[in-house]
Amino acid sequence: MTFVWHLLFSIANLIPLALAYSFLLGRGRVQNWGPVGAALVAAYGIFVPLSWGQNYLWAALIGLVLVSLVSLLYTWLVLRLPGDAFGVMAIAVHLAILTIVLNWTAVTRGALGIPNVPRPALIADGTVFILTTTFVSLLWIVLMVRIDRSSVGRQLTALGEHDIYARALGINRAAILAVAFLLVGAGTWIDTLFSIPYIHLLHPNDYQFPTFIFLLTIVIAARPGNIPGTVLSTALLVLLREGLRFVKVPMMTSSGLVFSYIPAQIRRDQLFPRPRTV
Amino acid sequence: MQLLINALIAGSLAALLASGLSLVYGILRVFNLALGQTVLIGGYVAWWLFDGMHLPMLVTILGGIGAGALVSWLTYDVFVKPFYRRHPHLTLVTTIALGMMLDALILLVFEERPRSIQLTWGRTLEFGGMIIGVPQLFLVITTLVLLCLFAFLLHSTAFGRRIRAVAQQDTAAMSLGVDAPSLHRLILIMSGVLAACGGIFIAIDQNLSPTLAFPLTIKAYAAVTAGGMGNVWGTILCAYLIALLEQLVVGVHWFGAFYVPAGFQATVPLLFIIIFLLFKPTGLFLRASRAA
Repeated sequence: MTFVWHLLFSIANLIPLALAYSFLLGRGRVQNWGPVGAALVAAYGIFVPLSWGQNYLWAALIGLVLVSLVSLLYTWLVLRLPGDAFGVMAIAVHLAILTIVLNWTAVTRGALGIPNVPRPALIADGTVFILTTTFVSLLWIVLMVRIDRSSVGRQLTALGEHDIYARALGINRAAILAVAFLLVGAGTWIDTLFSIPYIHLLHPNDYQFPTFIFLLTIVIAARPGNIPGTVLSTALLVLLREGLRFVKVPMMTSSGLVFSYIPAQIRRDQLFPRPRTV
Repeated sequence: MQLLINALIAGSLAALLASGLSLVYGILRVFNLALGQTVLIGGYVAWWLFDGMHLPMLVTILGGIGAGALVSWLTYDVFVKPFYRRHPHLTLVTTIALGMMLDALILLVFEERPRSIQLTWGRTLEFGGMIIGVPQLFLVITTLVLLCLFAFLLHSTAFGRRIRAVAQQDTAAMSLGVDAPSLHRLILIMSGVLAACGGIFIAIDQNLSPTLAFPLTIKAYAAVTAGGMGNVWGTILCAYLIALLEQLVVGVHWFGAFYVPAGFQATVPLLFIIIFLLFKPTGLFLRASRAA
């Protein structure tokens, strides 16, 4: 039964980030390769102040402010750079943040990570904690459906399909992209806020490239921009990932094959579609 | 001066990797993110042949190079060819997937322990206060010879002319009878051979470790970005420049007050990527091309 609760938590915890990332990639066709870098900032932004004795609420707010700033940085970069250059830039930003985290040991404890991260007192009980995560996740699904169907979703789709025509129609590219990036930032913040106290440990190894690949796989498998599909693929791929732990195949081999190569093979036309031409 | 020698050694390794990466990007518009793993496979196979099978050094080197070529062949036919015509970014995903699989394979077969080739002629030379090991000197010279051979092949042979024709316009080259698809495969294999040489270099000069792969790829990518995407010679020069800056960052006693911790050395290539993509995306040496 404990394992079933664990599965429920793993699925619910990942849904906000997966949905926000799917919105950005599917609707806006923005190749943001650095959401894990934002998650790293959110994690250390929340749990370093907490380890210094800061109140949980204040620590969470500090994390939210920092992740919003990183999201705005990504927005600024995407406005300056073409698609592939932004993709590589986002990887570089992610790795630069990781290097700082690993080497600024006086603040982050480097490769040791931050142990004994407590859960908020109100939801410290395991079952209550998981149910709260699930509830937040459900709220996020509703929010994302509304945003997707709102004028923001339509404007982002228009920008993704043909940027210049969309701008000629009066769409504010900077504002719409900022909203999309801030949503991804908020998704990473929610993910971090629950996942670290769940295992009581913040460790930089959890913010390496394979984490991003798993996220990307969820979105690719569902078809980018597809909300119900993303929820379903999150559930199925988390079950698959947890199931693979019992198979005697090295995790990374199966991860590379199952989570990257096969989805890329199947969805190669939807993953990076050619822009529509007139 | 010792920092210059260190930069020359580190730069030679980076130049080997980056030149192959740049050539592949210049022709296929593909970034092979499994390049670092190809380097390690070349190095580990050479180590295994030398240390495990007790084969002579020459056979060891050829074995390592052969392994790198084989991995690159696989990379092209399974992970690049079915995707790159559809969208070049697809190959970023598939080569990352290959990288993850090779990482796991390396961990499984060669384990986490650092591995290195211990040479019997490992004494050091000292001149003018600078120290360099004989194997290091040999490796720097070998790299320069390899790069000169590479230049000769690219600029003074019929094969090189075909490569440059494909790089400029592969459809036009094919209409003139150049077998572009075979050349694409061959170019990726050449980049794998250079990468494997880099791996053997690491096995002799430093230690091979499974965690090295991604930082190696990033350093090579930084050189490609700074040198101008697809500009092989600009890339090689920038590989040496990045290595020099890496050495200066951690080797200089800044303002007579502090040393930068060695861990931050890895940020130099990342800063290169960030600065060049933001302020000079064409790189240092790429001339603006005319468009119709």
